Amino acid sequence: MKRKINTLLLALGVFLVSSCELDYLENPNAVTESSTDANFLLNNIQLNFRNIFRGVSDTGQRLTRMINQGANTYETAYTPTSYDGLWSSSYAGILADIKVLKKIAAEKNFKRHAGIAKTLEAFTLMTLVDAFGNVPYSEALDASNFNPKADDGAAVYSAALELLKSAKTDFAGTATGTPNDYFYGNNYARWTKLVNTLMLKYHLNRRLIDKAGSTSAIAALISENNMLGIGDEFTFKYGTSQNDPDSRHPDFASQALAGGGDYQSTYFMWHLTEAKGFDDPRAKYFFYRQVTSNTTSPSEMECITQFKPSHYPEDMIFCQPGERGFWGRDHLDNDGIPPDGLKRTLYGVYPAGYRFDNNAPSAAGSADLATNGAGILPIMLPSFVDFMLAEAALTLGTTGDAKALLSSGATKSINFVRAWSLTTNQAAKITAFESNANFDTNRGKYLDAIVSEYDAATTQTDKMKILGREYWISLYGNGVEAYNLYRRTGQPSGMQPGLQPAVGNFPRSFIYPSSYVNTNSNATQKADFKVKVFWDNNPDSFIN
Amino acid sequence: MRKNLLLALVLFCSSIAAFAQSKISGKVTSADDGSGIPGVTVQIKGTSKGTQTDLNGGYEIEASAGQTLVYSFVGMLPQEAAVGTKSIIKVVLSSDAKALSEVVVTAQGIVREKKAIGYAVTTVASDLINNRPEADVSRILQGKAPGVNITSTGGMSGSGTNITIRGYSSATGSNQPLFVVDGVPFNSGTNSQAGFTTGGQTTSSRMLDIDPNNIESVSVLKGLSATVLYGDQGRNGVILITTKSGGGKIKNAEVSLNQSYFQNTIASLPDYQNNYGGGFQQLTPPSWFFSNWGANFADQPTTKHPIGLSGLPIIRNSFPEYAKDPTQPWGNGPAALLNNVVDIPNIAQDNIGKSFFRKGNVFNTSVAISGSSDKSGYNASVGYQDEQGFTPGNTLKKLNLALGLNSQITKKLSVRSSFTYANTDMASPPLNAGYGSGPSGGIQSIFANVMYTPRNVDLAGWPYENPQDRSSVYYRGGNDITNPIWLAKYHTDKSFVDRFFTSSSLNYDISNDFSVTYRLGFDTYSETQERQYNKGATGGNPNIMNGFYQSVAIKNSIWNHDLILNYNKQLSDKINLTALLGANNRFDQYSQFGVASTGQLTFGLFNHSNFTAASNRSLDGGGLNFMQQERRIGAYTNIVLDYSDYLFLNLSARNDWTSTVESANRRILYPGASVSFIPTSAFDMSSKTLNDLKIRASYGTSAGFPSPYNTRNTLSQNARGWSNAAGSLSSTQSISNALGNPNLKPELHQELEFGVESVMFSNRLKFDVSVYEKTTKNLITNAPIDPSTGYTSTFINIGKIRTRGAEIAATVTPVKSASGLTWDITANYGKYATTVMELGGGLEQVVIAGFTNLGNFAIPGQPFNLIKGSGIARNANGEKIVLPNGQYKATADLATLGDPNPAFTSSLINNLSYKGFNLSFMFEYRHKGVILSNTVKGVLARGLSKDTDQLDRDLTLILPGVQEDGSKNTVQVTASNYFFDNYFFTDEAVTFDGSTARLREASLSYSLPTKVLGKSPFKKASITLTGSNLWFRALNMPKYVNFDTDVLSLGVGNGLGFDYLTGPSARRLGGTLSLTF
Repeated sequence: MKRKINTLLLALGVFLVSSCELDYLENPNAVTESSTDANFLLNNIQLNFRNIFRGVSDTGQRLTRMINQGANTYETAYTPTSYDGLWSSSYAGILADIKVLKKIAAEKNFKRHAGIAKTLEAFTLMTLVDAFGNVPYSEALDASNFNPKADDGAAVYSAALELLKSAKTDFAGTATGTPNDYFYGNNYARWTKLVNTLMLKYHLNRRLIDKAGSTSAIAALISENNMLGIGDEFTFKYGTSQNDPDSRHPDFASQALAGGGDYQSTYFMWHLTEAKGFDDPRAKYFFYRQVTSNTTSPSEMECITQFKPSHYPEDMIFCQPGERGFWGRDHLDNDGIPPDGLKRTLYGVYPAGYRFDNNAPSAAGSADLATNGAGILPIMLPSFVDFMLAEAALTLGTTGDAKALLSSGATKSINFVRAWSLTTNQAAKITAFESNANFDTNRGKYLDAIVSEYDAATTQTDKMKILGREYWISLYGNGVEAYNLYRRTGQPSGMQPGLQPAVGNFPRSFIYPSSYVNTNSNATQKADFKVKVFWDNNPDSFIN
Repeated sequence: MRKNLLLALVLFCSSIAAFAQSKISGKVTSADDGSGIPGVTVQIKGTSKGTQTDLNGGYEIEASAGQTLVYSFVGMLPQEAAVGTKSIIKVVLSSDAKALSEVVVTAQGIVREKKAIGYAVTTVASDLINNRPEADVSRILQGKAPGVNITSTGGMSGSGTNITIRGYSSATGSNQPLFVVDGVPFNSGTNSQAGFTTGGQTTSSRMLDIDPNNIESVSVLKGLSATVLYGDQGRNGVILITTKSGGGKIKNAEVSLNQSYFQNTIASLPDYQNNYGGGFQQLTPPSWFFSNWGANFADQPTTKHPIGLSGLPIIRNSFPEYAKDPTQPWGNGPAALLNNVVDIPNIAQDNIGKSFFRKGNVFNTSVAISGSSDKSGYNASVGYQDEQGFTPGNTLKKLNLALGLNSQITKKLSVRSSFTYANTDMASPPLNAGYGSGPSGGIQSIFANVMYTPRNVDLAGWPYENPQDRSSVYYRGGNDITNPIWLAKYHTDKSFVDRFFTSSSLNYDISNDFSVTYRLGFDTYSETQERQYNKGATGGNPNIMNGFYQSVAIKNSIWNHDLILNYNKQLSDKINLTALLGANNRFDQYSQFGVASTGQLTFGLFNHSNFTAASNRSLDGGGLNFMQQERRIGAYTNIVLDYSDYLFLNLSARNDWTSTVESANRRILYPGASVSFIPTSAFDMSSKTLNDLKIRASYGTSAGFPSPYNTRNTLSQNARGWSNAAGSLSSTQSISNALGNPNLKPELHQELEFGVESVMFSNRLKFDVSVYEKTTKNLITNAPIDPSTGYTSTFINIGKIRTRGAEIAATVTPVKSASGLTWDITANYGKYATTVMELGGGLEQVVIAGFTNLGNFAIPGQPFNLIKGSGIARNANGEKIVLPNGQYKATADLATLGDPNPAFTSSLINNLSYKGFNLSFMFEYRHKGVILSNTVKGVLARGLSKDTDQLDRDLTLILPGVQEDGSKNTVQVTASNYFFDNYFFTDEAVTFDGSTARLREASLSYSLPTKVLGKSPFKKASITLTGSNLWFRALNMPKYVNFDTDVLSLGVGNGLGFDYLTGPSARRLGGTLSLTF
């Protein structure tokens, strides 16, 4: 017995010692960094770029009254936590990935990967500066420095320009490897055009602080004559998958199945339906009405029994534009949500990919799911190029006729909205409702009206107002440029005030995210919403 | 009970007779009930010679006349008997009622008398645990151990339970205690597959697999000094459970049978007002709003049937009965359509207590058989609990089989084993965070909208299902919320658990002084979790609306080995040395595999082939397929020096090696020491007033190991990164946002504790007071880092938190009469304050739980878990600022809303016994600790409870406060706006003081006297009536909401103080019949 017991104890001892393995440090559920694949990385970079663009665009659209702004003051609408996601997907997301990709690309001569990555990096950096002003750059993306200092916005901007130049060289060179290109399907001539267009955007934004530099740089771009033209639209194309991943246009996803979601902006809808005395040819594409008459029930829309706020100008629209069921909300309205999910105006076919409004409304739901979510994000369009060139011609005196560019910009915008919509399954509905001939007539009427308005404007400011307003309308879905335009030119001026008489300062730049100021000892939160970005030297009360 | 607990020690101390003398025999019986006491040491005074009594208390010993026999048994007063001429000596031992002589189980199964222990241990005896209405042992322990804070995540049967002992010691790591059952670790994890905003709240905590009726005793080790021997596993306290099967009882064959029945009902509902119905601004005709701010019923006797008004043709067309003339169109729109909808009386309908919730039946049966021969004993038990929740669709079924065996194989070798099999099946409707207007992210939740059902909605009477496609139908025009009856019927979260648990130990006495024990623990379970959501719900999440099915198979196992050398030596007359040297090896493995399918083809069938798309990611994008392995190796020692039975020095140390950090940081040593001194024995000052006094001091250390895989960088990869319009997939990789930290090391905990225990007034008053201070340094923080570094977070050793606290347990016996009437009152009090001392690294705050703009925060100098969210803006004088529209202005920055940690928790347990009757009731009081309640928000903002009737709805109201210019607010608002805007627009308005008084338990039992049972086959028979959670009141919350603060919507974890409409608590009432034969 004793021997048996001793044997048992010995066996136990051996077992205990032999099972002392402690090497469980590699995560068995994840890939290691050594297996990084440039193609997969670039895919993520492109997808992240879309998120960043949309993140800034959403705020930009709300601030410029393209869609409704909730909350009742700017301060409650935008708190530091509002931008944590944007900050994180910019730096820890796209920029961290681009840093690694550029290294791999340099080693393997993946110039196309590098070109795309640099273009998107430049766009991201410019977008970050446009949104936040001074941001970390030179000390950023270093795991050994947890407190990178912010660089001056101008310095980050010029780094972006260098990246654009470098990208242009990359696209011109011979490369190995064919990346997956969500935007242009490997057409690098178009990427080059995009790079030039982004340079135009760059110099136009800087025109207030460096008129001469902007003028000569834009002149050079005009003479190079290689910017986005018809067919070169830089858009992100959404998919139709509902799950894993949900690849639908977010504006579609939030409304198509059950209504509700975002309110359209009363003010923006008014501009497209009532302001000119006739409908903008794009109105039926931008907005989808679930009802074609205004409600009479205050239970559904509280403002119909209320007076226009006394601080609204005489001619300012309030509550409902017209009487045809364009159902949105005024600026900075934080009312509770009445049962209007199947009544309020929804995003239309362009750019969200929902229904075309053919005056035969039906409630959201499964009856007609339109594109199933395959909308687009209009990041940079040929029409924008014309509007930017028009502004340059008007304000800097660069080559080109501002009026002609205004007209061609509006034409390109109106045409693209229809042409793209006709590529969707709403095409039959669209052509049945409005033939090509009718559409051309309506567009002609519209162009005549804005051109004569432009002619009637006497001062540069008045001309810029028309130019700005038309650019703003064509930007629907793109708040990044709308927000830049508004801060740069103050146009379109006379926007709808907030419902409350005191809504606080208009954000001239985004407040810094809490994930930045709370963790970085070199970061200081801005004093208030009046802090401007480096290229904005307009007065404090310039816009509201 | 305590007799048996000590058996192991007693066996250990036995020795063998060496020389022959005259044979004495006899029996040792108990003064309490006259039964024989097994295991009593019978020793010849002045020699090492002795024996022990057998099962029936009988003994035989050789002794010569003139010698004295000493009969001793721990927990009883020793007795002596002189050996004379008689060969038979009968002895009656009475129990030593002094509290300090009680024996308690401490770390690694060491059994000690209370006086020898230098730290606080709370024991909860089986009579406070068995035959309770709750299936979850941790819920039964609520209020019974001071310093232990137990919060249920909700009142659903089988829902998870959060436990913290002595506050918080880690920010990122777990603060949940270690469960040790029969000496080996028992996994008590909550394996949620989703976060609190994606429907993770129905997940059970796995201590649910323990059968409370099979528990013999529970010891709670609270301080670090008490838990040193468990190393890092014990840093959050240890709940030591001894089961009846693992207790190694030696007694005569006996069968016991318990049958319980309880009724399970919702503990509270708001007191609903009955004057107004659905709508807003009291507008007529009433419209079908979420809110109940419609017209007065008296002003509007009829209304149009909401389903006839539906904005969706598919709904109205399915119910032609709601059209006056079904051949004509009807619905919401022009007068012709509207007028063709049937009119119904506009009245207050049955409230949801009647129309939705139910009375659930709870049946619990347990049968146990135990017995023994002189060398071995057995205990087998079967427990079955069949429980219905008060919410339709919620059920819990538990089967527990347990077998315990012990045997003295040879004189030196003994073995003890227990085996448990548990089968736990739970089903529940989905539970997800709700904010007072629907569930988060369109992922359904049974309570999200039901609590504020407008008063004129006939929930039980109106259709809930569209006969055409079986989809949900409800009163809203856009049909945008799911009918709760439909949801309870067609959406279910299920879990099926099969668990096997065994603890076996071999003990070998090498010599009189030396023994060695090997203990093996194996705990393994497979848990299948399913989310079965039929298509047809509404609410905007297409994956849910089109039908969703997720099944996850989890496998968890713990292998635990302990090898322990025991040494016991009487060094001198006065000094006794007990020492222990042990080694431990624990290996944990968790793995899970899951599939989530979307797009249900045929309603009602849950098979992945009945779905159009499958994925291995959950609704919130987390992978369903992963595994985790972790090993700890420890060597530990414990030395106790006992000086003359009044001074005890206890030294402990454990050295651990962990697999979760890089090898340079792997090893860590934690020492601990404690002293216990009994002045009443030392100075012989024991009197009738002061029977016993003990003073103790202890110091303990521990470490917290990080969770695995945080030291190295990884790459995030997503095979399904993007699906374009043509449906073609592309994959992505990205540099992980979590920065691996190769220098990560364990966090360090230290605790200093002092205590006094005393027995006074001839046992009429016993108390036990502890004060402690616990600090954690090198705090492992999942630190958010500025994303501009390229990473968003890293696990890093920074920061320091400190907990100070006190615990008091006191028992008073105000009445103990000769007639047999006894009244005992036990009071428990616990308070702790955990303070964040520093965060380090320049961090200003870290979110512990919740959202970044509303959650629990760690902020230097502030209480841990402070709640911050949107507040009401105030001017320099502290007056609330009202905007021109009459609403409060919200703060631009996050405001501090309060400390969710209770200032103290306390309980009062009364026990009255008279002859066979026993009446006991337990009160609890929790003082302060804020709670942010979305239940209150929904019910008040939407005008449901009687609180909203305290003001005349026809009048306008003015919020107290000032306008921005400093002048007094004069803006009049309607009742709708007053409540709706006020409660919805800031978090501050819905944050309340959480002080709560509660009648936790009450029971009345009657045991038939032995005389009556004499001729029956029964040894014992009793009947008990029990109720739990019988009454409560949150003292400073809106009165008529009747809110229960015992809820934790963030789920089991480090968060505290949030109610996201995840469920009211349960009240159970019933009785138990117990028979022993």
